[in-house]
Amino acid sequence: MDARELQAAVDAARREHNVPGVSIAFCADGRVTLAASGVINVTSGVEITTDTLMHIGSITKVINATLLMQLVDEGMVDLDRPVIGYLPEFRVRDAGATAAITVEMLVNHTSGIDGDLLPDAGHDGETIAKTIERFSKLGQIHAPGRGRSYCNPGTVVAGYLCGRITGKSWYDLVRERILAPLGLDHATVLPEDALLHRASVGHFLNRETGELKRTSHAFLPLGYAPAGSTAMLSAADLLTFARALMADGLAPNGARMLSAQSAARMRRRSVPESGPEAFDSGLGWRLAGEFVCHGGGGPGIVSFLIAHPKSQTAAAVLTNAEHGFAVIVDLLRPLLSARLGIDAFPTLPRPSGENVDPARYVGLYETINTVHEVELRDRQLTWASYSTQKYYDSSPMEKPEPTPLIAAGNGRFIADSRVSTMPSSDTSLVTFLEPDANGKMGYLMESLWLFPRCKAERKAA
Amino acid sequence: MTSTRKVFLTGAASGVAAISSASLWSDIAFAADTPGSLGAKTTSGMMDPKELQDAVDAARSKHNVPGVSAAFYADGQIVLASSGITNVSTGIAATQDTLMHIGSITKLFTTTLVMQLVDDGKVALDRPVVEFMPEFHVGDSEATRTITVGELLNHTSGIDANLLPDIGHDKETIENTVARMRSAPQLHAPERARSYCNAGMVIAGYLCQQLRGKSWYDLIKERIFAPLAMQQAVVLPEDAVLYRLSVGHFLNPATKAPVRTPLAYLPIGYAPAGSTAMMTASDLMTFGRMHMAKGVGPNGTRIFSEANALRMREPFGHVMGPQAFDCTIGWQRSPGGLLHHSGGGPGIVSMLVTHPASQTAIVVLTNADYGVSVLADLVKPFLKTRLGLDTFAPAPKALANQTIDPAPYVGIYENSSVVHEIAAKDGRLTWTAYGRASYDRGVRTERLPTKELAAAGDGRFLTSDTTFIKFVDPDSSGKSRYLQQDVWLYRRT
Repeated sequence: MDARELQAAVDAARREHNVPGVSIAFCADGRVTLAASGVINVTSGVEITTDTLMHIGSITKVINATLLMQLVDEGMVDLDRPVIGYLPEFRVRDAGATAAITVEMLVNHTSGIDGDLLPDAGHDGETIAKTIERFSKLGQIHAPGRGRSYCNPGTVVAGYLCGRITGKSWYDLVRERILAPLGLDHATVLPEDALLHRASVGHFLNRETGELKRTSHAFLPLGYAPAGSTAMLSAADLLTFARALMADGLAPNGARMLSAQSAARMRRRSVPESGPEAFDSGLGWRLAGEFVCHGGGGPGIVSFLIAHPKSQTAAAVLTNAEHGFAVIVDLLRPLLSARLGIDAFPTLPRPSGENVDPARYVGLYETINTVHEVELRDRQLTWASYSTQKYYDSSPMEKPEPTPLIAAGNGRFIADSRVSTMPSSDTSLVTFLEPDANGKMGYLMESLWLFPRCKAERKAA
Repeated sequence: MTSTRKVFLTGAASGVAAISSASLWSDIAFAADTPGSLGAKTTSGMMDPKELQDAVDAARSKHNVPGVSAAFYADGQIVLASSGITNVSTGIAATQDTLMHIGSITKLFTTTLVMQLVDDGKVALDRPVVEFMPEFHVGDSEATRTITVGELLNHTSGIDANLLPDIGHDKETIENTVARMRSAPQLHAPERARSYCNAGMVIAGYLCQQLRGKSWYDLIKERIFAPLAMQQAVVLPEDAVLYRLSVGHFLNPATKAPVRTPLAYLPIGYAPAGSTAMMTASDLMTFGRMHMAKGVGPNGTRIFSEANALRMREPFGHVMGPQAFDCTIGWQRSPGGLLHHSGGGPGIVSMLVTHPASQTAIVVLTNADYGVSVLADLVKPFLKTRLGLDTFAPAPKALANQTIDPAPYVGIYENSSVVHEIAAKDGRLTWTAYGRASYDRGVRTERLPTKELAAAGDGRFLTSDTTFIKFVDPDSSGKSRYLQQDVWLYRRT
């Protein structure tokens, strides 16, 4: 696909899904193609360009893991050692977990720390160090190493650990060790640097009126920076970073970002068994068959980075809308299929038609910031989830109309008409895991998260 | 086009220029009226939208400034104009909706928050700070005990911590900045002199935080921006990204082209002194009008009491300090009843001028560190045609007889930011200055080339055609204890 065709595809996908702005960078056969479409901000109407900085959200986790692996390369960190060996002040609520969590668990989402996101503590309170202090009150979703649930706190701890070991701030480390050597001029991890550039902000769609509204928060809590609240890059610069990882740590400009061994280790499965589909975790990377990838979300943004190391094909797509994932799939599915003959995005399973015992599933499942209610209504199993903390303009704080759950085998259920707050390829799938002796399910899994069954009955909202 | 001093400040100690500066007022004063000056052409005193737009366009292009936004207010009418671009790297157009740095004009916002505390009986201007904040502490124990709330706001506290080096995103909090001032020395005893004091303003902002139990950022938003319906105004870098934004520029001396600053903000922990606030000219005018209307916003909302709005305008007793820097509680004063404040930052200058007697005001925001020429082109003719004010003192002239005795002047003078070395050579004074610390990732601290100074009488020596330093406060042997430059005092070491 040449630049003109790519531009046409981006324009079409953006319009089709009513997204304000999209930027894409695609690399195949050593050739990079860029395209951008729309505006950076519906309020200002400023046009988007291929060098516009856009939120990459949680794709930052891949950058953060790279930073950690640089320190592994330098013999400063051992992934198998407990975190407290490096950070004596590290604490979570459970003393056993505090002692048992290893460095690797921080970046492969197996630490079990329940603290997806904490409420914003205000500008001066939102430092990485203070965020780490707040983690001392957090409980466990599962015992360290005994499960896998998308874990922002682990990543923040990993970033803080890099800072402590080197005596530098995480911001400086990213700039000095990754952005500068790779020559990424359109990249920043500090909000105060963003305004030096053409920078995009998030948007929400009113699905009834079709109206796009600029977010009222540009960033998630800043103390979560290593997990992805602050990083903004052009799609082109993000692609350059991915190419360096894909090329075993060697950047397109010839700079060595990481050892080949560590680059390979990042894309190798680092979890005990394959477990919940669609969330096979390397270090930083998510694994999806022959692909490595990561998505990113934030207040009104969705982004996606995907690489196919075997063929050295990669793409970065950044959108400034909460509902931007449809644009990403529309652009990348045909692009990657045409090149590689593989569908990068899994399709939903088919209904199995089986009869399920609702009693095994009914109940409340929750984490620190989300509640899932599974109920039996008119003999139909239903599901409703909502936030207990407000982060976005669109955080669903009230229980929505429950959605019917359609059995699809192996504890999986298809949920209709569900809009998740975070991007993933399987937002319409709910899976139940870990039945107890009575057959009652211990966990609900949605997207990349596990939600333990609430033991005590909780007053329904 | 621009004074050599500005170039100096850019190169050697831009942090100093940075959260400045009354100096802009004297810069305006000394900026020569150029041929074809706009004042001559204006018929309405620029209160006609097209006339203002033409004036802003002309001033901007004449001085090669990337972007300008202006708001003029007179006879109950407001006129807005903007010109140019927000950023030479992106080329995005500057509009009337563009948020621009206001720099130290922020000090008026912090002062307003303190006056609200006075209204609520939570502080008194003439009482020591420690009475309201027992943890208050500076290097000198006597100063710690005696510095009053009012002295934090009128630049007489003497706390010497003009602008400490940036210590990185997560450490640059207001609280940490105040903690770093616990060991700050005194430039002079409290109340005995006047030297532009960012430290006092940061401590004042912190005092508001402590007494209200809310961050300075939230207080500004909740107690000033929201009630005045200032919807295009922010005090947090992470909020700025939501708007069309301007950033600073410097002039490349070789190419004469504006270059975007490598740094958008001065150290964030100095927020209450003016490192983070950005707004439209229109919103800043709303704030200025509130002050002119003795505490009531254009929307009818009272922000603070009339008594305290008037109190802010009162001069205080004469103390040693730069002549160009006459200040009140928060405001800077000039003859003719003008109350104003200017602001600097990395590659920006801004100004708010009010004339409460006639309910006339001007806001000009520019995104170049040499934007002072634009301010002069817009402000001077306006004051002249609208108010008949032409009160700027002329720049001093070199004396015909340059024979002087260097002995009273020779020495090293310094404050926490800048060092001035004065030596004698062939019967004339030489001057070498340098910044003591880099305030950001881009500023250098190397020495400036040594310059010979021309005597201008009364202890004054010209550092350029339009700028000077002055030696004051001789000791018993006749040696000056202080050097004055711009709005600062530097103590002999």
